[in-house]
This record gives sequence, structure tokens and C-alpha cells, in this order.
Amino acid sequence: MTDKDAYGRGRARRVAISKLKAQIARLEKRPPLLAPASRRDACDDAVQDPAQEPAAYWAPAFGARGALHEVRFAGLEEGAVPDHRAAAAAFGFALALSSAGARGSQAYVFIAKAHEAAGEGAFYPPGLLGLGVDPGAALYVRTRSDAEALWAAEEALRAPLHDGVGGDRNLSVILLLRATGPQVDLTATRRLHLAAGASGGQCVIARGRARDASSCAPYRWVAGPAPSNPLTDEIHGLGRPAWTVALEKGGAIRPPAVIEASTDGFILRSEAARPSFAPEGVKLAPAFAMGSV
Amino acid sequence: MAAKATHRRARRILGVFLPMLAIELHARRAGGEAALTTPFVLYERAENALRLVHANRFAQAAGLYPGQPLAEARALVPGLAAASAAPAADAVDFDRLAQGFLRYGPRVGVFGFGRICVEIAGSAHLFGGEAGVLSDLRARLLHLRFAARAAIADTPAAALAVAAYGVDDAEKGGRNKASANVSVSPLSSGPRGGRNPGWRGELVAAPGRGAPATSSAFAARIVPSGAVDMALDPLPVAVLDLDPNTVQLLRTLGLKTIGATRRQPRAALVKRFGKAFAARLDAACGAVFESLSPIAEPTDYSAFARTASPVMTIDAALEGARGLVADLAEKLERDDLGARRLALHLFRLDNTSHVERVDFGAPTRAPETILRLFRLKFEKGARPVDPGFGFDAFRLTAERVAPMAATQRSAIRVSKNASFLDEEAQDVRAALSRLADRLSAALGAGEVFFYAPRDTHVPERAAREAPALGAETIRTARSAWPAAVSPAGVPYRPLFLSPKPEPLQVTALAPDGPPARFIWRRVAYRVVRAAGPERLLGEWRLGEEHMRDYYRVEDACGRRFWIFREGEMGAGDMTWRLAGAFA
Repeated sequence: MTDKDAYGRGRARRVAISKLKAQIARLEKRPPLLAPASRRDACDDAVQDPAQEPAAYWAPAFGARGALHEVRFAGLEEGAVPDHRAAAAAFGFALALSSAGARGSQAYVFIAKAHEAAGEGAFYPPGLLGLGVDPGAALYVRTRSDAEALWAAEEALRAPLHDGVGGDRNLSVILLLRATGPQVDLTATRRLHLAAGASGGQCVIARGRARDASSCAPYRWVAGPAPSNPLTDEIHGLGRPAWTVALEKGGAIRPPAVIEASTDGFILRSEAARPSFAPEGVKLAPAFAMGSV
Repeated sequence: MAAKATHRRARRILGVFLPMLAIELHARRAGGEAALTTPFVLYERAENALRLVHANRFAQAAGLYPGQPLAEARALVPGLAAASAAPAADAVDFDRLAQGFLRYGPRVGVFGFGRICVEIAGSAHLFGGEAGVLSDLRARLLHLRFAARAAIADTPAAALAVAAYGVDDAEKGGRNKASANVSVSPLSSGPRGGRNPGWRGELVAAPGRGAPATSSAFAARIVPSGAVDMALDPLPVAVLDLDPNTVQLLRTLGLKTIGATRRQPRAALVKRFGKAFAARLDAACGAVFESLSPIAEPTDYSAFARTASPVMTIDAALEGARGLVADLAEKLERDDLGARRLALHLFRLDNTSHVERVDFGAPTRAPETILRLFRLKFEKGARPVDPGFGFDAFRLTAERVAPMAATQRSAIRVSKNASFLDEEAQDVRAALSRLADRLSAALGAGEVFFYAPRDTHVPERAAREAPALGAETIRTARSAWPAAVSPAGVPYRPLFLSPKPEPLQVTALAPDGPPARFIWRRVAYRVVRAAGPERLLGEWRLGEEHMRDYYRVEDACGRRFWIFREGEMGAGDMTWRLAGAFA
């Protein structure tokens, strides 16, 4: 075997692989991934020109309809196990995703597993108002298992509740799965994505710890909490909801950014920074404990 | 006159008289044989005394009669079985029984309890003539263990009169030349079998019972067309349904039979007894047309089918039910109705059955929707359905129906806020209702819900779960929710509310100040920002005496929590708990 043959075979393999990649991208209805060399360039561009509009910054992923979005809970450090305490942030960002591309009326179906409501708790409608969601326009579903949740989501997506992409009536199905078992896999996410694509609805899986982390979602986000900006009229108080978000898949590679709720919609905060989910460090015994465990 | 004659020839009425109906219905409801084989009476409280209203033939043979005080009857017949009469239940059962007579003709009239007329002029040939009608009737009534007298004549009054008074006489002696007794051969098999249970399925006797023991349980007579006068003449005047005073007066005057009365000069009769009496006489003889006031056919929204060979899988059974759904949908559409609850009965080969019910939030008759819901129910049901030796018959019944009007689309938008009233929202609501049906069928009705606001300041109760199934009016306008967000867009209420607030270890700079640090689930959080307190008291009318100071806090990472301090300041029993999490 000569070097030339080896080169030819390697080239043929690369061509075949790139063709397959293009095919997968077509199936997933997204632009083909950029070559590794040009990725770095895109990254540098982004840093130099931070966009204020999330839809422009994460085009076309942010608010995309007719597709499945996956929002992973951010981990304590990069690449680590997702932190269950990021559930509220991930769910909040899922709501931001759903309200972004919507014109006209917006209906929601919220799905969660019953036993996961312990701890931080279950959906609380008055809290939804704070993120611009009409609690009365939502159907809430409690399931016992991942399988039921997936089935309910697919049923909801296939219901004629929306006019398709760009229509007046929109439906977002949001699953909050704090921990997923083996049922939430490539096949299940594929089904959801196809159902969303067929109907023009939007499906968001906010997902924490996963047994099988593989997913067919064309857009994958990682969302975690971000410190809020204090407002001038509430100096000591809290600011508007804000999250640190990174788009891992399904668009141009951009550095993570902080997205913040505003009075009308969502904006990007300019100081885009790497998410720092540093652990709180050692536990401290309180010097002056008023509560009891 | 010619027209009248035509009428007379054209009409043939089957009159049925059920003399012991009340007792037989009681026996059927109570079960057991005592009421039919031993002296038995039904009594009611009348004028502050218990008096008999019905006595069976054994009791009558012992000398008991309706109207007799119960105490007297008990003295005459020691160990007499007696029960309280139940006229309301009897009326309902009699109604159902009357519905069954619709098989003999489309016009069925009821003339008081136990007396039924059917127009059979055009339908007798379906049973092989009038004798065939009586034969069929005999088989069915004997099977149901109802004693009956039947007659076929030209007028309702004559048919009933002959049935009530003229049948037994004719049976004994055949005195009346104008009538022909029907000899009805006992049928070897009952009318059951086949797919149509007689009597609308409600009053079908338990299988395996033979015909009743008494030979006189059924007697019938056919009065030939045009021979009504001759049949009526020997009967007592009482058969004409007159008021007791008139009957008494006629008897006093010696006019005991209809024939004797008819031979009197008509003018004098009218003058003496009034026009009403003459009219009754004319109606009986057919000189005046007496109409039946027909009972309505019951609205029965069900469909039934059999399979050629038993099916072993649910899929195949549902495939078999497909035709039923279409049939039922057609029936419902005809009456502008939709089903709210459907029951699918799957009958197994060994006479057992399985029933599956589905509920709909909104009236439905779309076959695909219905089938899909049943499929869901079978697939997601708690335990699989055992086909046994196979299913061989299916019945689909709409147990609850509701009007399903054509949807009206509003031409004008009512108001901007009332978005759920407008046309698009109506469609969405219908689709949402369908979705809720499907999800509820599979997951349980309590697991699929809307939230409705409740006017309270206690956070745990501010939102109420309202089951989505059938909740057409639950969806509330956005304005109904209390504003839980500051003008600047900062939420006051968390995204998640904990059902059981977990305890925290808190370090605060001041006893009544916000926390500086807290430990939740063994992890420490340093509070960077805090807002509060928001003091909320329990609702005194519910006996809640707690006082809670809520703080919104944010830690260094940006996690936002809602925590509260409960208890009196300085009382020493203060606890901190985590109420929820903000986005």
C-alpha cells in the first residue's frame, strides 16, 4: 500500500463523513456545523460584538419554533453533573425561549413528574406571571414517569392547538424533568422533534441529571442562575430574573451570555461572562443559628 | 259514512291487560318465588290504615280483596306474605314494558297502569297475522312471567274491554260465536337468543327459567273485524271506563250489559247520563274514532355488533368497535347531540364481559376521537384486559349525552381582554379540551388540570387546581390573577412553590433581619441580596394562627429563593423554611 492510496482512502472517508454530516444537518433542519478552523473565528467575532438582542445573538436558535429545544441544567463546573438547583433557572429560560418567537396568542402545556415536586416545589402560577406567562392559558400535567411525560408531550404537540410556524396561535410544550431515566433517549427526543416539526409547535425539555444524555434536539442550551442586576428603585433588593446561558448545539458558536428579563421581553446583559458555577465551598456551622433543622 | 266505515275496517288494535302486574313487578324486583306461588298482597297506607291494593290469585282465592285492611287479611290468612306497594317504581317499570310493545307497531298507547294498546293493522303480517302477534306476545310475556289477557279488536276501548272481561269467558265456553279463540302452542324456546333482547333488555328474565306453572297465565281472543258490537254486547258496562256513580246507576236501572244499554233509545241515554257516556259507548263500538296517544320511542344511543369468530386481542376488538362508533355517531348527529360518557362493553365467549368507560370534556361524536380515547384507555389502563376465550360481541352505549350545537363564530370581538371569548380562542379551547380528554383518560383526571386564582393572601392557596376534564369555564382571564410582579418587572412570587417547606439553618445579622447565610440540604448559601420581610398571616377563619415573614434572597451564584421565618419574635421557637425558588 502506497502513501498515495492511504491518502486517497483517508480523503474518501472524510468526504463520506462530511456528506453524512450534511445529511444529518438536513434531517435536523439546521445549518451544517462549521469546520473546526472557522469555529474559533466565529467565537472571536462574537466577543468583539456583543449583541443586545438574544434572538440576534443566538440566531436562529433562540425562540425557534417547530423544533425541540433541550435546556440542560448547568453544572457546578463546566462539564460536571447538572445541578438540580438550576431547575428554576432552566425552566425560566425555557419560558423565555417559548415567548421569544411567538406572535399572537400563546398557549402552554407544562409537564412535570409528580414525585419531583419535593424540595423546591411544583409550578406556581403567580410566579409565572412574573415572566410574562398567563397562568390561565396553560394546561398542567403531572405524570408518574418519564415515559408518560414524553407521551403527554407528544400528544400535546400533535393537538391542533397552533397554526404552525409563524402563525397567530402558538403552543409551547415544556417538560421539566429534574432527573431522566433511560427512556429519554435518542428515539424519544427524535419523536418529540418530529412531532414539533410536523405541527409547528415548540417543545422544550428542561432536563437535569440524565442516565442517557444523548438527545436528538437540534438546539441544546445550558442554563444556570446569574446574579441579578440591582434596580435603582430597589437598591437592596433583587433585580429582574437573569440566567447564564450557553448554546451548545444548533447555531453559531458563541460565548455564554447573561440573559435578563425586561419589562417587555428579554435582553442580553452586556458583560457576557463565562458561567462561574463555583461550589459554595466548605459547609460552615452557623455561629448564630436561629433556626433548627 | 263511507269514511267511517273505512276507518273501522282499517283499524286493528291489540289490547293487553296485565292484571297482576304490580305483584309481578314486585317479585321481579325483590327476587324469589314467594310472591308468585303463595298468597301475597301489596298494601299501602290509606286513610291512616294499611290497606291492600293488590292481591295475587292465591290471596284472592283465600278471600282477600283490594281495599281490605291488612290486619284483617293477616287474620284471615296466617303467615300472609305482604309488602308495601311501590307505585313510583311500578310506573317506571311499566313504562319500560310499554316501550317493548313498540315491536308490534309504531303506535303504542297506555290506558292506565297495566293496560296497553297497540295499533297493529299494518304490522301484523310481520308476525304471520294477528294470531302470530298473539303467539309472539304469549311467548314473551310467559317468559317474563307476566300474567296477561290480550285481545285484538277494531277499537282501543273494545280491545281493552274484551281483554279485561271477555277473554276468560270465551275460553271456558266459547259462548260468543263472533269471536275465535286462539290456540297458541307453547314455544319450545324463549324469545331470547339472537341479538335483540326483547323488552329493551331491561326486563329480561334470568336465563334458564321455564314458563310459569299456571295455564291461565295468558289468554287471548281475536274479535274479527266488524264484530265489535257482538263481542261487546255481553260484557258488563263497567268495562267502558265510566265513573263509578254512572256504573252504579246503570246497574240500578237494570242495564247491566253493554248490549242492554245500547238497545235503549239514544236520546234518553244522553239526557240521563250525559254526552260523555254516549261518547264512550260510541268509541267502544267504533262509531267515533278514538285515537291513541302514543308513547315516544325511547332515545337509545347504543350500537351492538357480533363478530363471526371470537377475537383475542384488544386491537382486533377495537377494530370491531369501529363500525359501532360510526353507527352511534350517526345516531347522535341526527339528534344534534354529542356523547359526554361512552361505555364499551366487550362480551366474552363465556358470558362474562368487560366494560370500559371514557369521559369527554366536551360533547363529542367524532369517530376517530372516540376510538383513539378507547385505545388509550386500553393501552394505558391499570391492568390489561383479559380476553379469556375471546370477545364475540360488542356494545357501545352513550351513557351521558349533551347537546352539541353547531359552533357559532362570533362576528365581533367582544373585548380585547376577553381573548378567550373570540373565535380563535374558541377553537383553541375546543382543541385544548380534546387534549385534556386524552391526557385525562390515560393519566387520570386529577393529573391534568388548569389553575384558577383564589382570592386569598396565603401563597399555598392562591392557586387552585381545577381538573381539565369538562372544565370549559375554568380558564380565567389574566387580569383575574393578582399582580405578583413589581412595575419594574421583578417577580414577588416564586416560580416553584414547595408543597412541604423544608427547614433551614439560618444565620442572620439581626434577630429580626434578613438572613446572611443559610444551609439548605447540607449546602451553605451566602445571601448577597435580600428583600423583605413580607409579613403574611394565616387565615384566622381556618384556624391558622401562624405568622410568617417572607424574604426574597439571592446567593452569590444568582440563585434566588423565597424563604420565611415563622413564629413570634423572642418566643424562642422561630423556624426558617424554604418556601420556593425564583427563576
